[in-house]
Amino acid sequence: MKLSQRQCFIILFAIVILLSALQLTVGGSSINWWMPNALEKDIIWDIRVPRTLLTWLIASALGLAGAVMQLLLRNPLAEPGITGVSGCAALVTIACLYFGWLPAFSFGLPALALVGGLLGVSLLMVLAGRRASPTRVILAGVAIATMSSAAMGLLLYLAPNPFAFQEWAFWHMGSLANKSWHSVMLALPGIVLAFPIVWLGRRFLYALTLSEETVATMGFNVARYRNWMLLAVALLTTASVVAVGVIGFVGLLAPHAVRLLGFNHPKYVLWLSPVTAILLLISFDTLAQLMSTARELPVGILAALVGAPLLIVLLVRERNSHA
Amino acid sequence: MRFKGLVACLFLVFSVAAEASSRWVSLNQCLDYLLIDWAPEQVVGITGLDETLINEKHRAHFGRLENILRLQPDRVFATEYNNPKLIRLLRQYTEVEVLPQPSSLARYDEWVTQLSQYAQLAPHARAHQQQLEQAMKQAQQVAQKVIILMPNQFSWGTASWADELISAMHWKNLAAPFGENLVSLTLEEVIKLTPDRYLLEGFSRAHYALANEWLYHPLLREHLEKTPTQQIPPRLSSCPVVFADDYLKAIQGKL
Amino acid sequence: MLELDDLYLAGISRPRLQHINLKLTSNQLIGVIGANGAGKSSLLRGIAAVEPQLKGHIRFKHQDWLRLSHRQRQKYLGYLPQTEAPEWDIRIDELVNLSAQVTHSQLMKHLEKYALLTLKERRVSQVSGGERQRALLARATLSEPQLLICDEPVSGLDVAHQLTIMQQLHNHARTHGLVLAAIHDLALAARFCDSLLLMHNGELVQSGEPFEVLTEKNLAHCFGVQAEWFCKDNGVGWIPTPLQAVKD
Repeated sequence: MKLSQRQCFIILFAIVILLSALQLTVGGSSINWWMPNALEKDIIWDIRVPRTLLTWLIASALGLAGAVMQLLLRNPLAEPGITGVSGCAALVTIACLYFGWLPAFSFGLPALALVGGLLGVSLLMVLAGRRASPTRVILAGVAIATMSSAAMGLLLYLAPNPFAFQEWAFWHMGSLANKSWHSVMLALPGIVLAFPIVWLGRRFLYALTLSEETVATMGFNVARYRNWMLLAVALLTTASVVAVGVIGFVGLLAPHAVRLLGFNHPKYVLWLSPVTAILLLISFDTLAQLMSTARELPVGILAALVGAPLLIVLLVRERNSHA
Repeated sequence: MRFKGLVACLFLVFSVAAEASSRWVSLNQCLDYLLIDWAPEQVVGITGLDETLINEKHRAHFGRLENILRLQPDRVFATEYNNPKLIRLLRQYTEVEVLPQPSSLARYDEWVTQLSQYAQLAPHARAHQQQLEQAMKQAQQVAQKVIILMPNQFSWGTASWADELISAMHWKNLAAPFGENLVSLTLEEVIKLTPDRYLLEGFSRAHYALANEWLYHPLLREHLEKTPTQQIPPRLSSCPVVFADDYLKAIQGKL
Repeated sequence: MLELDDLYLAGISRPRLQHINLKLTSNQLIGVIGANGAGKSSLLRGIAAVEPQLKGHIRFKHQDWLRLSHRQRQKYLGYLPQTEAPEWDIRIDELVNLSAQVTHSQLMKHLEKYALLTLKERRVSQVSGGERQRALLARATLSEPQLLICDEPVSGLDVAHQLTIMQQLHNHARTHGLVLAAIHDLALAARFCDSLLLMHNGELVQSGEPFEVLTEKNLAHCFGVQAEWFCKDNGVGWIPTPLQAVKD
């Protein structure tokens, strides 16, 4: 039974709504949804609803960023986490927060952290080169991710708060726990700015099915469009990192899920990736909350547990197709 | 007869001198405070974790075996949580007194008894115990429900020193149902509790850390503002047994 | 229609292009021939304006071609590079209409012209190399470019597809404008092209009708072969033999 695109979209959306409802009900305590008292109403409105909304925002940001990176680099293995872009954004975020440059919930934070995100994408383009093979992108990404991770460790070691150093792991495995509307506000500006940029550059991304040279002859100033798309990736990644830390692999899994559903054309990959990303992240988060006993399992760990094997499968397939 | 008296006198002088010249080293920061306060003349070595205590008489060893041995101690005071290997090695060279880390009043009694073996410490130890009992009695007039909030979403459950003190005052520790010793609570569970008083222990609020995440959440902040909240000073929260009297006063909000 | 004025492209050990001066008129299929490394690709990429280091002037319909914006050039230009492999496994009709500039009926007519109608719902991975190349050519010609540039459009294809594509290039030249194609197979070039450009060591050795260019001297100097040609009404054939014979 072959589904049309519209049917697929409706089904996906319905699943997202269902899973969101499930995520809302799975929480740190039991709540009477029929007759909530004042405290429970507060909990629903100030803890659970922001958490679900934040999941939607972060997931769509990561899904879109992953799709844009894959289309831009013409490489199904690219995504902000494993290419070190998230790490660089986290680096600047940590510097701002732990050394008191900015208060924890100001709009200056995503603005300044954007510098980190831009640094990450620029480094990646410089190291991987423009006509780089998928493996070269991964290698460059590993180098950048390792470097930024070590720098994060150093900063946390030097930070004044005594708990800082042991929080290195937490930054690498993002979590949606204990978040509030503040985090939603932190993530929102970058995402709101990035979506129109991607919309305006969408034809360029579709055209990149073919080589960059051909795309130039199709009427696109490749360098200018590329820089705008990189800016969009930086905005989306920074928005996500600033709010919840580094969650890797979602940007890899979401576009791949779209292709698995049979939609290979870049326009579906681009616009359905946020939806599949929401589906994935809500599932991971719900699972994380269900699995957790006392301390909550960071959702980034589940994303990595599912995403890393997939990356291996993709790498093997890549190797076999060139054999 | 006079000769025997002279020998007895000399013996007395030497024993007093021997006691006066004993060299004690503390392996634990809380014991640093305790020993310096109760028997400053006897102490030659401290951990050095609190720089303000270091001086000519009280040298810092920073937990290193060589530094400790260099101080030539005749007795080392440690707690049950000190590194057992270090204690085993030290026993080859000197006497080591391992004190319990009380998490109950019964263990606290043992702690007092053990300290009272030492002539210099005995009167202080007894005074410590009496002060504590006094403070606990005074609080029993108004029973309160409290919860202790710590960084990284921890609290004190049953079988902990804080819980023991709270129960002894006939107050209610709202974290008790959640488990023993250090317990993890979710934010929602904390919100749902309606304590008469919040106790914040261990937060370094001046600087940012993910450990402080509870304090950044607007819903909890609202509750903290509307309810009496006591910040327990770090010195008390790190040595709640040695400073038990002040710790109890802090919980009661009398600090 | 197309004027090349003193084109120069630097290279590593020697220039990739130098002293290129040429005037070409419209509605011709022009074959660019030469040995490997002669400069065919460099020339075609230079004309397609994808060589940023190119020096010199190019005038297309009296406009300064290299100064135009990408968007302005796109109105006239169609480009098919040497190795083009679509990155994503999309359908043939989606590939041809990648720039999404034409209506459905226009697309169908175009697909029909390139015999792709039966294949339109197949994915790139499900068609043969020749069919894929045909689809890529269809994509490049969808906007009916007046300047079509193809770099080795038939290399690696089977004979039937080679002939089909050359014929389609010929048709495009007749109906829409100038077509420049780099070709390795000299017999094919002689058969379909209106004129040839012979490249050697980055320079344009000769331009003109096929048998003006495919002289014994040029074949020997630029390709290292001598050849016997067969011309019939319906085609051209040849037997090349290397100048330096390899002993059995």
